[in-house]
Amino acid sequence: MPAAIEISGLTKRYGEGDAAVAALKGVDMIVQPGEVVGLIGPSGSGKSTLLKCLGAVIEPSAGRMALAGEAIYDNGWQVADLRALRRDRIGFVFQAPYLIPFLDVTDNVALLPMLAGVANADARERARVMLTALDVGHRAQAQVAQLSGGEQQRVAIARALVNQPPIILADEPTAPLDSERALAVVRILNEMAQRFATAIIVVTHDEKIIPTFRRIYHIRDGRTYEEAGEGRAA
Amino acid sequence: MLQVIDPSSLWIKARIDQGQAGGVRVGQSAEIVLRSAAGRVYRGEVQRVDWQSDAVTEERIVNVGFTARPDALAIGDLVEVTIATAELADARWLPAAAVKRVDGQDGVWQIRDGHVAFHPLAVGITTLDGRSQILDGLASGDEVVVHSEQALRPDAKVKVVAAIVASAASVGGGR
Amino acid sequence: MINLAGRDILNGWGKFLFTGIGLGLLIGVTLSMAGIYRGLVDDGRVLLSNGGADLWVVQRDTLGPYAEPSNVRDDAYRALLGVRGVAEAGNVTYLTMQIEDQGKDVRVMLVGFQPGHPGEPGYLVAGRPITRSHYEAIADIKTGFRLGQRIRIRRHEYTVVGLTRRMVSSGGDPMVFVPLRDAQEVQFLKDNDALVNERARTAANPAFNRPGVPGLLEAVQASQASSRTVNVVMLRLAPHADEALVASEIRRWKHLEAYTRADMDEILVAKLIATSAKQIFMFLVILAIVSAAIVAFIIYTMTLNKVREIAVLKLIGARNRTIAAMILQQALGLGAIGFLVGKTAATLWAPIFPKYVLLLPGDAVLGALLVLAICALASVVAIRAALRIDPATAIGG
Repeated sequence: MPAAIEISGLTKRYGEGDAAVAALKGVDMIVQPGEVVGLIGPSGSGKSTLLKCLGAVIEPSAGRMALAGEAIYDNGWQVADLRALRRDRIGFVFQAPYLIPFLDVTDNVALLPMLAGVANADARERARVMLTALDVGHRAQAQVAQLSGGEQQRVAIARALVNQPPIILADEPTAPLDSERALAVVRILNEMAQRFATAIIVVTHDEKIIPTFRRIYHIRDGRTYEEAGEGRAA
Repeated sequence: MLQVIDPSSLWIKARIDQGQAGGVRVGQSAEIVLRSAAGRVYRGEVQRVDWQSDAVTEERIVNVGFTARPDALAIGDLVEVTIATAELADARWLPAAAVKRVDGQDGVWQIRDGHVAFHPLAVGITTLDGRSQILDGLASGDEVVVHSEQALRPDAKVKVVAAIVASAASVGGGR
Repeated sequence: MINLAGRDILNGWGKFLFTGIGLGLLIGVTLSMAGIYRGLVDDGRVLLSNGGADLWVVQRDTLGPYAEPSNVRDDAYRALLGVRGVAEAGNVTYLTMQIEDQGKDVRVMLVGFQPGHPGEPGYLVAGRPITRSHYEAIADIKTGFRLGQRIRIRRHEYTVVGLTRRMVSSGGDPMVFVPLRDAQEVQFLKDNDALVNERARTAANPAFNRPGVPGLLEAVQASQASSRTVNVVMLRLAPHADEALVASEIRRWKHLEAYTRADMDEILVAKLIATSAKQIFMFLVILAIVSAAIVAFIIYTMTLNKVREIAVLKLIGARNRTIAAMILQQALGLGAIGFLVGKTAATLWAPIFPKYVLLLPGDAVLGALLVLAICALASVVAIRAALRIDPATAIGG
């Protein structure tokens, strides 16, 4: 089974000539399906840039990225429709839930399959299944504003998972949460990763959850270093 | 020099538009209203119709006498005279508002199947309270337009209503 | 796919509706302005068709009787009837004046006419035509007078015996029709003090006050006090008569000016109404620009309030098309509400306007299309801003 994510020699330069800044200087990374790895680094280390490259939102300068064995970037985009790529094959979980305030909970999650062309009724059914899996099924009809922070985060995770993408990129998902809630989120991520064979990269500097990762990538100055984590159960 | 006048010989000099004066005859009864006493109506009768009309004002001069002369009368006073010229029994009549003139011909606008058409008529006299005598040209039961919201055109479509102006009821009783 | 525009509006429908109503009132005013312009032109046209005349004969070298004062001797009609092609003639006077009604002054155009001749009201909405030679009147319902009401005009009291509709002057003043003699007296007879003074002056003049000629003084004074003038003679021509030919005939031989319907139309609409028309058109343009600016501003603000959501939508895979459609639909929705409110308001308040407001169904359709077009254009600013939003901003730092 091919690796879910495989990156080699990824570089990203901002600017031109003398003023050029290299945010990524040849990053290597490999994550297997079902794995949850941490990506830790100080600000300015390039972790956001790496995430943006992986999320197909910005174009790298050089290197290679493969998703579930398929090259999506090889010194140039190999995929024509990046939007469709993001929609179907990459899930996003942000610092804040970033739910659409004028849609109810179910439609927030169902939006993703709908954007992919799935019929409204089927999309809502898939949404309900995912919401139940994340223990917020009972809030399916509620408005976003009526949910607690933790519930909103779980809905956001449901949204990331609903299309069952091979990878999920989580950007500081536990930053605003206390330790109990933070660990709960990590527990859910691990569960979902196992269940749907999704690879999850969690960018974080949250001390509370770092011990839970089995593998950690440190990123400093545009380069990554792998480390075995404690892998403590959440 | 003084002018001496016998009060019993006081006449009213009434000027009547030539177009309307044709039916005036000596002896017809008249109603007289003084401008100085507007509430009261005096009776009188036509005593003379002048042979010479006023060509400039296009009026005929008619002298009307009082049956009972009022006391407070002055020479030169303005009065209003209404003369009853003829009484027609069994005349067929329409409201004067219905009679129109199109291309020099009198007639009415008849309603048939929701459309109007101009129907020429021979019209007799018109009374002071707005009734026009119809000499011929209409059968009982024919519908004609009395009041309309705009000028009528041949074959125009119309909607019949009971009254165009809802509060058309007169002020202070009709005449 | 759910309708994002609809959901967004429903979520904050109070604000959206309120904004729509505000925009609607602005659109209502714009529609009313257009209606007032049409009303002005219609006032002029109606004035010309109501008299039932084919030719207007006025004082030479004037643009009367509506655009300029005109005086014609009231026996001129006899000569005019002799012109070939003339079937009927009617003397008419016009005088703008105030009539008091229950303490209020009503501004009217007093029309003196001859029953059965051109110039009389062609149709009534209530009552009967004038049958007496004096002191009866037919009033337009815009005066507020009622049947049987007695109104005071200068020296006499008149009884309202009939009512008409849409009989107005070119300025929109309702007409009151009275017998010609009475109207002439009103317009040309001086007030009592002036009469007495003039009589005294004439009596003091030895040329007129000669003891050897009895009756001379009275005759002179009577001629001074008589009114033998009218403002216009309206002519109805025989069928198949050439109006231009008859008009030129009159101009040549009768030392009078004659205008055809087309001439009068141009005098009224082109000359009298032109200034007002320009003003109203300017207002229309300004209002349209202001409306467009307001819609643009509101839609732009609504979009800017959604920057984060739009970035997330783009990130999770929504097409630019979808986002542009959302914004455009919101702008059109705002325009639709605005137009409905505006059209309803304009229809409701049109009768209350002092001037005649004429709203045609075609105007409503044109107005709706314009409003939607303006809203679509106004949304372009917001759409461009939305398309420029970088989905990467959703990923922090």
